[in-house]
Amino acid sequence: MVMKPAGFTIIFSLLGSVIVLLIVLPLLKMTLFGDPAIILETVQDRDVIEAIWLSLRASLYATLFCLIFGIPLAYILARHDFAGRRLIEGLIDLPIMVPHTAAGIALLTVFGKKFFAGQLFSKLGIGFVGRLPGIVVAMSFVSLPFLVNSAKDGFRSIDPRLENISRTLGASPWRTFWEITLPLSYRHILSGAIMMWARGISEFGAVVILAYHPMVAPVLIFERFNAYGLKYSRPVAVVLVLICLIIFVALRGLAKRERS
Amino acid sequence: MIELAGLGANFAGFNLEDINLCIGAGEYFVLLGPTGAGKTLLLESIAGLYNIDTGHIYIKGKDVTRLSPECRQVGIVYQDYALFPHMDVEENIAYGLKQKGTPRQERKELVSNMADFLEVTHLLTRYPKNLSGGEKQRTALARALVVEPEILLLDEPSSALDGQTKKKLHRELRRIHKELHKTVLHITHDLEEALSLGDRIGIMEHGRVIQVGSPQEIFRKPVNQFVAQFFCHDNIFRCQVQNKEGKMKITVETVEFSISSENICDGEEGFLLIPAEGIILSAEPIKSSARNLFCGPVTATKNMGAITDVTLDIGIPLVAKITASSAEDMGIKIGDKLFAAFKATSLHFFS
Repeated sequence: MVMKPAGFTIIFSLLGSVIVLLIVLPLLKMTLFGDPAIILETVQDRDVIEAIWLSLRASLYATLFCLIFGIPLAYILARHDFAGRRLIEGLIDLPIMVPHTAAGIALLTVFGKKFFAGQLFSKLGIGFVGRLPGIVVAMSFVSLPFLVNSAKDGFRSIDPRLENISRTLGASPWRTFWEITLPLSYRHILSGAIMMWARGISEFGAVVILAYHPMVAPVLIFERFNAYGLKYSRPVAVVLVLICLIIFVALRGLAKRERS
Repeated sequence: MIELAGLGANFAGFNLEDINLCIGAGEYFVLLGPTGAGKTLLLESIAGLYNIDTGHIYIKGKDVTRLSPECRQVGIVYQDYALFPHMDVEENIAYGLKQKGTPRQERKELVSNMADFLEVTHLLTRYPKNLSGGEKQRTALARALVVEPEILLLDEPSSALDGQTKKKLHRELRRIHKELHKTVLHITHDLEEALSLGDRIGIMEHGRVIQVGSPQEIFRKPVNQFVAQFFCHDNIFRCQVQNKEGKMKITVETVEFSISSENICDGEEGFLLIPAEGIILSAEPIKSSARNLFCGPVTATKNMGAITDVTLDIGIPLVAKITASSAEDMGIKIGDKLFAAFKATSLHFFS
């Protein structure tokens, strides 16, 4: 390994620390300097608990939905070269770039009660506006790039010759996928799923357009900020951040243990 | 055993063109060619990993052209082994048996026998990342062979190995071929490997098989300049055929050679190959029945270990290969005048 000059490392470390501070400072300030009594009260607030539980649950459903449909898509994109592949890859990245409120409006035009898909699902007893499925759809739309891209990278990192060998040894494409491809890309998929779940929990813009109620945690924070100000919105944010932090640290630890 | 009839395919702009090849049961066939000749593509096409556009592939007389890889009964070993990294050696070897639905106890027995045969028994619980190149190679061979494939396809299996391990692998491949009587199609760019292992050799260039024959046939009579150069012949000259008083002569620049070939015509242009191994050198005039006798000064010598290359200027630079001990006995020095003799039958003309 080539040793970089000390000055080079110091300057890069200082520049990099600005980014770390940008993330850590607001979170620390919000978390550590709140009134513990209000935070305790917030933890016992039924509305807060329900909103956080709904966020966790809806984002989990969105992640499971995208695991079922996104993994095959990621595999096709990773393994096959076809006309329009780049276009589809661009479309998958699109939700990262568009404003999420715009995404919510776009979803409303499809899943709203006055529109075809909304009416069709309505006949099947599935409503989206102001319902859990609407929240799941909004979370899926905005956070699926994290899962699909990570899974795609995972599939691409596997030497296709391993799959070839498996086929010549008598395994069907399905068995090859289950026994070779999936175990070898498992870490990428898990990492993508965790990222997607995390992104889904924090989603506000698209959800607020499609389903203001039932209230997910970010919408509740927004509403409390509007109605009561910082003092009452901050504890909800703190509780949400702490819960997410505990869950994600635990999941990352689990993924790391699997890896080792 | 394997028959390729008019096989043609296009893979992202690279073409395999009109490949016709028959490999007999139990034969060790080596497909030799430079990198980018299409050898691996052909191998993978035979294994069913790519669909071909034209022609047919027959294995044991059965048309397998449209069969999926799992139905073709071919075993493949890649140059970088491609062992499943998440499985230990035992699981790697057992993988194919598991796919075939072999009962657990029988599977264990077969894996154990194959591990014994390839001397990897002590490695069964190790993961691929903890194996050396040779160990990986033997494991990959065991995995391919344990399911008893009709054909064993080897994709440059020794290219990642050092010289000693490579020689060991060659011995191992000869032993496997001898003891298991498998039909083997081995692809390589290594001439020495092809000569040492192949019952027959096929030469491949730009997606075509351009010559097939025994190592000796191809060595003595390459069909074109590419094959001659691939076989490391030193004396390849552009030439013209001339009929002089009823005898065919080959002229290279101003030098005339006698050749005994019936398939050449007066005025024909092409290349002359003079095998460097067939040239006799002497410090004295040579009394020989050989029709090509020349004399010239030594312009260069090159020690190649057991062999020494001696270049004479006979009007054109002519390289002769003699044993290093002969060169030492003769005390050859640059500028020495030497006599060279070689038979007309040893010369080969190709267009």
